[in-house]
Amino acid sequence: MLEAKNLVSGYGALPILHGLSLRVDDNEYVGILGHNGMGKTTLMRTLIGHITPMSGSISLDGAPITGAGAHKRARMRIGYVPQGREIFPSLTVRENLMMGALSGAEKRGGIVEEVLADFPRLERLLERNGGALSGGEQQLLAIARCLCGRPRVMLLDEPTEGIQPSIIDEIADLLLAIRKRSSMSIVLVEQNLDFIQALSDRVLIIHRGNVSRTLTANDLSDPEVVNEFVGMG
Amino acid sequence: MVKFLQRLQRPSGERPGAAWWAFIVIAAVILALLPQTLGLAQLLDLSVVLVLALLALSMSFLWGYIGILSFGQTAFFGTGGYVYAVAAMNFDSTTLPFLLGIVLPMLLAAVLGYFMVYGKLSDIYFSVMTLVITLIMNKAMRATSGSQYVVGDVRLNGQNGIPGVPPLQVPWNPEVTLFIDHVYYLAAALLILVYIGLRLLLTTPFGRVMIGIRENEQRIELLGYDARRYKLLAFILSGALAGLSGTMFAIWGNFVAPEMFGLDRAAEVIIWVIVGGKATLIGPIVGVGIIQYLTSWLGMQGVGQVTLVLGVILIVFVLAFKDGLVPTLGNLLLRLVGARPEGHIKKGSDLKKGSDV
Amino acid sequence: MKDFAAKPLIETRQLVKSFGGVQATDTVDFILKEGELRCLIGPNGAGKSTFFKLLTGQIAPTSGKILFDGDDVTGLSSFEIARRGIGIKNQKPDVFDGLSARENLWLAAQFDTDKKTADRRVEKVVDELKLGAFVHKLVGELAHGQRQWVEIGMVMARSPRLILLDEPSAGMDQEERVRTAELLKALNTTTTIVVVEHDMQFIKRIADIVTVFHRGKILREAHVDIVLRDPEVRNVYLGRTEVA
Ligand SMILES: Nc1ncnc2c1ncn2[C@@H]1O[C@H](COP(=O)(O)OP(=O)(O)OP(=O)(O)O)[C@@H](O)[C@H]1O
Ligand SMILES: Nc1ncnc2c1ncn2[C@@H]1O[C@H](COP(=O)(O)OP(=O)(O)OP(=O)(O)O)[C@@H](O)[C@H]1O
Ligand SMILES: [Mg+2]
Ligand SMILES: [Mg+2]
Repeated sequence: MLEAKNLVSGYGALPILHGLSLRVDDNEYVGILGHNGMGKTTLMRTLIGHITPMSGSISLDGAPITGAGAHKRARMRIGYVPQGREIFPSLTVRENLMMGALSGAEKRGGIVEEVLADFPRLERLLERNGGALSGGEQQLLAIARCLCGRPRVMLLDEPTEGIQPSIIDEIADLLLAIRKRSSMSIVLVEQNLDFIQALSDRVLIIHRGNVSRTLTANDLSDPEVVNEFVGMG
Repeated sequence: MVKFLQRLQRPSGERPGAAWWAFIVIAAVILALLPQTLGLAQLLDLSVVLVLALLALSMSFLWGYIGILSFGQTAFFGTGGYVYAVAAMNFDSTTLPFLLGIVLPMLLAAVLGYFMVYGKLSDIYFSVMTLVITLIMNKAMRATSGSQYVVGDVRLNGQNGIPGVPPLQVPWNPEVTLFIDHVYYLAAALLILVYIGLRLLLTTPFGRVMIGIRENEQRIELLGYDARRYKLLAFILSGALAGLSGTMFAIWGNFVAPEMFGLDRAAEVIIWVIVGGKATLIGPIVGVGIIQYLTSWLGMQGVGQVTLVLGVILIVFVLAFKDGLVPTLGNLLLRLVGARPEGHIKKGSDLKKGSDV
Repeated sequence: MKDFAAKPLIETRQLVKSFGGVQATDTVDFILKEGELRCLIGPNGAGKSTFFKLLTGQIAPTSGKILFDGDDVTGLSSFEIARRGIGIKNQKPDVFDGLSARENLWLAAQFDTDKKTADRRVEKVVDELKLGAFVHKLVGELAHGQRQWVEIGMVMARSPRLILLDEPSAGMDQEERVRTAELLKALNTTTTIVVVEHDMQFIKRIADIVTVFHRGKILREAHVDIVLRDPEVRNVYLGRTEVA
């Protein structure tokens, strides 16, 4: 459903991605691994429309969206959990969640309550300001807020950062459950190997702004293969 | 060249290079030669641009370097002018009054700054407080029309201001007073010196900590610097600069009036700085030039609503050249020569860009 | 290896911080001896970052006392505490975005010294942390992990007596986490360190004594092997994650 072809993208005149292609099918969860500074966040920001690629194309269900702004893509139900969370600090947790819901109808339809059912830990924080939350609580909120938009594709940039081990497991369970009950897809950038392994159908290794290899779920359970790529220089 | 242009976009603690010094020398030579070709009236116009450029620098230094927006620069500007006027009319010599015109505003800045900085006013309240101070001083000065308001031999005259402010004497030869062209040279020399001084300040630890405060005050504190001390010192320095500008203004026009403290002037300073680009030092100077000449040109064309036109210009500038004229032009040139423009900073920080030119 | 006298470098007595109704730190008595490398773990919202902010004067305690090297430092402002020798990396990247990485480090290094020494310190940190590839870039234009390194570098450039690191491995790849762990162990030969982390692999690499926070209080404090097997710690924090 989401497809990027030959993306060249970056900041100013300097490309970070050099002709990267990527394809995510309906209900597919695709993981992305790569060292620091290899362009993972740049890829996510290009997919969501914060950065306009210098060349290449992005399409959703075959329709080109390369030129569409970030808000348009949000309306097309591409959800994004950015690295660094970017929650609204002076809005309450509840208001943050409301902002995630796209339309008034959805808000009235109780999407916030629905999502909260999956995130019981946010319940007692509902009236607290986003900026007052602890790091992990903010990260949790960012994920929940994204789900309030009922995304068809979720772009997750290191979503487990700052979250305690047991909740990481719960989130993995939740996302797996969502895969079963809906057709949502995910592009997941992650450094936590267990998490990426638990969720991904395929894992793309990004190296110097390009996909250097694709690993299957099986490869991932082989510690040697993983070591090779995690240790790759 | 590319490096020089990039400098127009971003702050740097590095020592200025040869290109920068060459630029200074060329500017100085041009300023020195201009009187040969200009008539007295034109020279007078240009002088006031140079004098007001000092005021603009006092603001852009605070705003662009350390991140404090002060509407109080006009208060120090007016104080400087009035102090010089009153002192020069009371004393025989003008040397001491000239110095007082700098020192007293500086003291005023020290006292006000102390309470505002150490009273932990947040940035926005700081700006509002400085605005209020300007307004109060303007009102107070307007209310001095009665004959009881006399300092020494000088009546303050309220609305009407004080005419006949004595011209500056040569300190070692009081017989000689500065004429229009001399005032021009003095203003030009002061402006160049102040410009060089502020630029070099950036290469000092003090200057770099100031930039650090603009970028992230909390981190500066966590590194062990007392941010409040730096803010206060910067505020005092900018008060002295504004006072110098006001003193020169009084000398230039032989006249001071409450308008020097006025809201219009306060707004103008902001417009200069925004139009020229607050992150640079050269920008505000350019801004003063453009706006001053534009104002008088509009006046000559018989456009009644000069203020309105200026307002529109400001809006256009804010929309079209977000960072101000100088940084934007620098960026454009950079693109032309094919280099990567600086300034793709992540969210939140693009307001904070600075430069060193 | 660690031949410091075993006196407390930092100590809190009945330390409390409440935000409105929330007791983020609740009567914490914490003692850290000079030379230790202590790890702090605990659920999200347990009060770890709040505790760090109290120690560094970023927020003032509601009640209780903080002693550093035997002196009462409660209520001192953060720059005064920094001068006494506590350096911190906050959880959120806390750097100077509009300055280059080198300028960031320089600001940290030059604080109590002359320009030359500062330059030398900066070069040393750049070498040690391998920052050469991006040290000239604006920090606002760096990838997340690179920013973390810059911030760690800033803390190191100050050579403080006590280093507090709030989630140093966040945003780093696996290889870098190993490198960070080695770095901390090396640093620990001269410096006392406290690390907050959620990455148990990382914790296991470096930890000796681990303190577990829960609901603002200290829940456990023991050797890492004991703590990670503790049923209550598993229950509130680790869940089914395999760590043993
Ligand atoms: N705003 C920016 N302007 C210029 N260059 C940037 C900007 N943001 C990132 N870069 C550069 O682009 C490269 C890729 O950065 P990116 O953030 O995509 O890395 P990443 O793979 O997400 O790394 P990490 O794992 O640390 O998050 C880095 O070398 C970085 O310095
Ligand atoms: N300014 C504030 N106002 C109200 N509550 C706050 C404030 N700051 C923190 N809190 C609350 O205090 C608790 C402790 O927060 P803290 O940031 O110390 O947690 P933490 O242990 O660092 O968690 P994490 O592992 O998620 O980073 C949290 O529940 C948080 O919501
Ligand atoms: Mg990233
Ligand atoms: Mg925390």
